[in-house]
Amino acid sequence: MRKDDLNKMLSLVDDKYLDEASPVKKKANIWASRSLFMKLGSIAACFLLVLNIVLLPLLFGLGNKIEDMENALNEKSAQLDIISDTVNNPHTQNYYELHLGENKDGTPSTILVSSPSTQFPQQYQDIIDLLKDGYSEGFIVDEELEDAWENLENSQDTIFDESAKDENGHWEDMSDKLEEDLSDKAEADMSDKTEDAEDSYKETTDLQTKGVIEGDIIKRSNKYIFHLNGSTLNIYSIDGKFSERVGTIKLNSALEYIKNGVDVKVTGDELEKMKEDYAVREMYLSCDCKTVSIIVSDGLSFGSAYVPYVTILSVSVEDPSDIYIKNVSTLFGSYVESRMIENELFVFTKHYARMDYLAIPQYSDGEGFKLFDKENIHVGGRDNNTYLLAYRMNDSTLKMNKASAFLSYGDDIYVSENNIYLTNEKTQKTAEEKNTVTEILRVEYNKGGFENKGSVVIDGYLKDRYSLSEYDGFLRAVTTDNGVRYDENGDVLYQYSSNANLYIVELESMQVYNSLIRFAPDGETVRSVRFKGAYAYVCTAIQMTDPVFFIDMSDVNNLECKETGTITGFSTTLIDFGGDLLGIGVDSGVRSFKLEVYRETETGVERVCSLIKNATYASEYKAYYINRELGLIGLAITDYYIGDHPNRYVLYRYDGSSFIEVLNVETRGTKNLHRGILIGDYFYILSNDVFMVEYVPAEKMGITK
Amino acid sequence: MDDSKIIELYFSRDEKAIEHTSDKYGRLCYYVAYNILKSQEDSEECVNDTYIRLWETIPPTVPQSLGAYSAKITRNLSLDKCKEKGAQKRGENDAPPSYEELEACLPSKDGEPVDELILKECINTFLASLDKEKRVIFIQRYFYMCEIKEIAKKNFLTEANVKVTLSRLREKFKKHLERY
Repeated sequence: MRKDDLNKMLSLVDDKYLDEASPVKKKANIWASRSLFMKLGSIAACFLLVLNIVLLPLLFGLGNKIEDMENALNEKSAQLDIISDTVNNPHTQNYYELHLGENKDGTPSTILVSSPSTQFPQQYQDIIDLLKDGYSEGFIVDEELEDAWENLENSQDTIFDESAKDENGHWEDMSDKLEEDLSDKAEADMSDKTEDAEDSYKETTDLQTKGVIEGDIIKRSNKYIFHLNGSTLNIYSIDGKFSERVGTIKLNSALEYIKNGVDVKVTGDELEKMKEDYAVREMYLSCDCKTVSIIVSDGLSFGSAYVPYVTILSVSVEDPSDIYIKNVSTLFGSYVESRMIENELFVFTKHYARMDYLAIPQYSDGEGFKLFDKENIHVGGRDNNTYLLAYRMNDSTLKMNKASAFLSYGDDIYVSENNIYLTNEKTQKTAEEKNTVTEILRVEYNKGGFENKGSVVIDGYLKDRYSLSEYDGFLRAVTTDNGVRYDENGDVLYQYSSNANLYIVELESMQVYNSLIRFAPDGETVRSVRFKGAYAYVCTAIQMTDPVFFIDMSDVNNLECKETGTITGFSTTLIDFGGDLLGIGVDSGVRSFKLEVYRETETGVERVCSLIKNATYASEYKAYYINRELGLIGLAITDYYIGDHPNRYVLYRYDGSSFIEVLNVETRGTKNLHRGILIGDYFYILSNDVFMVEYVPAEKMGITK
Repeated sequence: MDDSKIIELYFSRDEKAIEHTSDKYGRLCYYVAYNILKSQEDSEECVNDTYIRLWETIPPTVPQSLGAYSAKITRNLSLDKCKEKGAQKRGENDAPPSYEELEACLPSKDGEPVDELILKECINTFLASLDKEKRVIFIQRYFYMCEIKEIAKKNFLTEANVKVTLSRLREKFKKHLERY
């Protein structure tokens, strides 16, 4: 996306939002004035109400349309509690506001739908048909797949190893040299490998919840590393410095084929525009290591609309030299998150129920798209027009097991062993105060469905999903809270400065059981959170200084909080690291990278050691290599002390009192797209530009053989 | 006069359309232009250019909201003028601070131009996912280019509160852009 796109994007904001936020009020219209309306008294109010609800629709001939709309919704078994309908948009007269009850502050909660009796149904049905065509079980595109070895020859990827350094110690592109002898060697290796023991799954991602697998661009078995590089899936053998790519599949052709198949009704320029709009996000490897599920964000242009959807590709990787797409599924909405639990894939998307789309979302069960049933739509918060759509399906066949929709949720998603927590950040206003609150909905998933177990509203907003944790019958949440208080005239009395809160919510009742309110110094915001067992670790900061807090929740009735006191910089990520806490963050400036270890003492929290570099660093959690057993932390940085080749992959070992550099090698590619894995004596580094294997002697890792 | 009647005047090529637009939305357009250009003369020129552009584009365009449509035109013209003035001052960047704030949310600042329909979906989905209060603050800052102080006053908040809200919204917007 470019700067120009940003400006263009802002000029495409819906007019209704611009009108809503207009800083210059139109000339006063006394009949539309709410304050006057309030003063008119009940008789006048009733008269205006009748005028609005009954007379105006009749005058504009809209009564039948409203009725049609209600009938259509009823027929589709997807009725929401329509309390009243009013004409929403006087310019088009085609759109209606469905009132879905009241918000907590008494304002009507609404979503917009277009009238099924006017322009909507045909256009929407066409979109559904197009998407439906994209789904086909057993969809195989053998003919679209290029031979793995041909791909290898055509590939621009480079493979490095230690022997590839030139006389100046710089990396030399070995791809040509390697390709010459790859075919023979690889064939020999492959024949050997077929004799090997059964392949088994090895986790590479540092999971938030044990057993709840998170998608990533890298996964591995005991034989192979699977790497998603843009829209290409590469498979590398795990063989130290002799590791090589043993299989590859370019998804572009398959995705375009699917899309072109979908696009049969769209011609000309529109078809051209649609190509390569997709973005390949992440993947999962099945427990038996035979299937890779790849998640792709995609969308379909249709007339003046763009319909985002998610494509799931189930790819057979049983034989790396014969990779093929087994199944394809398309899901409604734009991609938010996903997880895999055993052999079930959970995908979360967001669906925007706007004017030119029906308010009711769709799902596919393999036999075409259907409207969500009423019992699978949870209207809950009713604070905004977006649904969080939750799908669960078999990772290999992609057969849909369950699909549910949650209106107004989807800011951050946390999945524990039994529950999914959906969040909705919103503004809460009373006569006395206004502040940001977060509603957290508990959805139980361990019985095969998505069961709504109630929600809780807490003050403040969450930093990210790591600010939530379920433990021993309680949900713990850390928020940043700030707001304003008003006096009796409605004027701002004062603002209470931002601070951090910890809430302990009882799962059964979804009520706040205990809390630690404003435990940080005033003005601080939460920068990173990590939970481990009964402990919460929180880093808060005001500009470039921070305290780190250790909160002991072993006794939920008696929370104990210790802190480091103010220190320079702050951590953007906290990682429980053996018995200590590791912080990755910045020191005194934006270009200052800091690794720091904290430890609890009897009276507080001490800083054990730190490592500071004049560098910028990967900010994605999944880009960090974390090995708690050996005390290793690896990541990509740009080191500004190094002139010619500042992009480095660094691996440090924490020995209990200091950091020891284990590896510091030149690398290429985006920092956040780097992944590192230690397997045996070799450290594998992959990015969008390199595949490197480095020998790391056991003694460097503090291992005595 | 009602928007639909003013639009009818444009369709019948009646110059009173401009008079009524000026009467109803002149202040808004001037406000948008001045927030970007910070010059009375330039802002007035942009507002006049807006009327010409409205005259040229309606018909065939039938704006959903004449106010929003006029504000969009003024904003684009003002940003163009701002760029032009910056270029005259040998590359000096005269973009309003709010514009720069939002630029920092871009996942990458190069690459192929993104399809207009995707951009439209992206921004409106983001706005739809916010509650009204936050949406209003976001649009006032990044579309109408309002000063923090003004946003605070209009929304009965303090400046510090607006700053924290905007910082949080930018973080969310950045995350949202990464999904597209």
